[in-house]
Amino acid sequence: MSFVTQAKTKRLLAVHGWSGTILGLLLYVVIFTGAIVVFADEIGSWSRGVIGHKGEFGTQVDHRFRVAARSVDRNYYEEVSIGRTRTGDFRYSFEGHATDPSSGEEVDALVRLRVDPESGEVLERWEGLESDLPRDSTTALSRFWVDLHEELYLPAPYGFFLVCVLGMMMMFAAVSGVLIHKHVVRDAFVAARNPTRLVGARDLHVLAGTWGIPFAILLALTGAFLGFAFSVGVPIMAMISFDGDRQAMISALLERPEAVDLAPAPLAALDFVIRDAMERTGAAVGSIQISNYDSVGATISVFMGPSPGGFAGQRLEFDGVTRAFEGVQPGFGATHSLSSTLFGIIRPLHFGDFAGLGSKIVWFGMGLAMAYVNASGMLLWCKRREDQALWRGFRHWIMVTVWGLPFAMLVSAVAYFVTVPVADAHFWTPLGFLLGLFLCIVLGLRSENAGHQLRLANTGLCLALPVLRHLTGGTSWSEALISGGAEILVIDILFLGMGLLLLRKSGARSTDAEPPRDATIQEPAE
Amino acid sequence: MSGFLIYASIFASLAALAYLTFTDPKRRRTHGQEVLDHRPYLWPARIALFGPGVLLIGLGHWSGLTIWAVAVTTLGWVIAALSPATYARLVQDIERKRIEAWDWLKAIAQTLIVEPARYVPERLKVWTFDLPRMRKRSPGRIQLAEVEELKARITALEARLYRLENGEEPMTALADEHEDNELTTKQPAKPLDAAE
Amino acid sequence: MSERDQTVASFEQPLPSQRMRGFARQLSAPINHRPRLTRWVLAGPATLLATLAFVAGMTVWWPPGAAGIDQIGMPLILSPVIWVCIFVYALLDENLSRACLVMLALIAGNGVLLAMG
Repeated sequence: MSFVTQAKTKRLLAVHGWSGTILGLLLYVVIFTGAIVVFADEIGSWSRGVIGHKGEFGTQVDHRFRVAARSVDRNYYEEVSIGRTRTGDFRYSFEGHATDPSSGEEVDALVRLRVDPESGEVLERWEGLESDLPRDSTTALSRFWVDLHEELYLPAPYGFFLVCVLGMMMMFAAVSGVLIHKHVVRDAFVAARNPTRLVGARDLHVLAGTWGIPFAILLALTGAFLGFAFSVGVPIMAMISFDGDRQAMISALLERPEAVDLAPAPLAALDFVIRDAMERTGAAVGSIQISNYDSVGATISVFMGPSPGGFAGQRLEFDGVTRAFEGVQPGFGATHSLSSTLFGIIRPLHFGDFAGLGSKIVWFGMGLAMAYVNASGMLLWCKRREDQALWRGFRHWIMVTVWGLPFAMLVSAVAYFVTVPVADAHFWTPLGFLLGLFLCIVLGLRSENAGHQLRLANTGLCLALPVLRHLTGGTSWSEALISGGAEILVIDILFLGMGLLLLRKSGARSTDAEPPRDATIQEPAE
Repeated sequence: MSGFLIYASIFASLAALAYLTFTDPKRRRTHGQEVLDHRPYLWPARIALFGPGVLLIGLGHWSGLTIWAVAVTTLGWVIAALSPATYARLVQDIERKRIEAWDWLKAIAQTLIVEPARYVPERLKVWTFDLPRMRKRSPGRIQLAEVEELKARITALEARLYRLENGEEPMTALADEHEDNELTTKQPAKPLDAAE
Repeated sequence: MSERDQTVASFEQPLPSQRMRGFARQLSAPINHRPRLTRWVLAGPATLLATLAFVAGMTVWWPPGAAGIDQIGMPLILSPVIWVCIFVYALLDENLSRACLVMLALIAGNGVLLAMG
């Protein structure tokens, strides 16, 4: 990059470093929680203690569904969906319109049935307005961690907006990092020389950054888009192209204009449709949606998981009466287009869930590597200015954040497990996190060596969490193994292993006699 | 099949990356390793590095391509980030572990295979051949264990005597041996002493 | 005034091109006088405005595609990339007046495009 002169490098470095200083800690939170919530589904079933359902839909859907549907009023036949819950039960959702008793307006209402897959017995029935849908207390932990990643647990548009700004910053950091370092290819194999010295600290950051560039850009781009598109992008686009009519734009994007014949007609056999869809794609059925159930104009959409080698799932559409195949529908828009294809792959590319556990593990590892790039960059920035007390203080708080975030997350998990049997965990889990943060801040203010102490606390919590989960009525290992809930076992073991690893590391640290802080300060910065 | 393909691609690329890492001149220079006397085979390594990616593109296996790319860059970072000193220590550790494991295996083989191979035929001989013969010769109870023990002691003593007479064993060793013998005979008393 | 004096005087007069350059220098004086402030404005609000204008302008010229939605979808997808490109440019260009011109052109050009389309 010969066109980047020294003056330009200096300017880029200033923006790279200062944006990192100001927003880096928040970015660390987003990246670290992002790496964790790659496993959001697994964490969900682990924390709930229910055995994960592996997504087989089966081809024995039709009869039980019809029997259950007879108990529901025709008003709710507008949009019917069939899915399976994590516990393996069927969930039928019938949506229609109702008048809101308080405002007198027409609002969405629904009837929801949970049905036993074996006997067809209705286990649970819920009826009401969509806005009153109860929250399942057992999802609190995974939901909170996802919220933390998506919007830093801030109120609706601001959280998305901030995370989107962080994503843009991450993308700029990756691009400017290449421009600043220049010898990206030549230094790709040079391991850090002496990590305790400045040049070594720079090597650590540069090397991790070099290998992470493509996916830092990929994750930041897709993440910024996911955060930005619906909080800022859509309103702006609506303003530009639809004179501010957001609803008009959304319906242009999502809905196919059709005049629907609502004369009653029986629905085609679902089991045949499911078999047909599976044969066409070679993938598993995720869920089924039926528009205008029990009428001539009914359509059946079958949502398939990703087929082997692909990223995104597909939506297959069938005629609701003749069960004729009507083609693969794009995510939005009437027909396939470049943007709907890209929209389709952005989500799986960001979430890493397109090839089961394999891709999730890879994404998790990469996320941790990104978090490392982020933290090492901030530490490097402080090391350059080590002779100033202000930056030494900042370094201290970086360490508090690096170890305090996992600590606060673990405390929130503890709060969840303790409260979920008795209270609303959606309230207590975030409170646990705030308590953890508060403890971190107190510790950071009072102790010189807070990072190390927080690491010890993390060790203890990692080891204690599986035990706590068990004591508060979680699924036992034998139960999990028998009913195929391996993820419960694996996550427990991961926590225990992480705890043991931290234990071993901190043991090694205390015996190796970590060089005291003064020693690093005495060394002149290069 | 598709899983195997992805694992194989990742493995091939990582092997190439490891080769490129260990032969990288700048890395060797900055870490004070000796300069290689031949130029590294860059192109074969690069082909092995990027080839699997091209293959996956050719097959249209897009999700595999992404997993491959992410895994290779993440693990490639780990390979490049460890310093030669760390590798040297790792190699040493592995060598030590290997030797330990080998010794352990040898010990197991000794007790499970070698010893029984020596012992079982001997026993069989005693049971099938010696014992009936002795029974025939001396009716009544035969303290078989006693006979066996005596035989073993006589063999050991004979061997010892031979060694002493031929100067293969120094006389001083006798005292140690004697003490050992005493200890083994007094063994039942020992736990009692410890309990006190 | 002799002919010779006239010739000398005409040499002392600035050429039209020189006069333009002088005018440009006069205009860019405040820009170059406060380079740091200019850079902040360029990389901050000006970049945001230019990105917004460019994304909005894209809805006019990007082909709608078979589904008729690409002209909305693609600018949305590409907007972070567009922002980064403009931001890096605003940081890197050594010639501040040129950077200002480019930004103005981006904003005005796309504004005109949007108004016409």
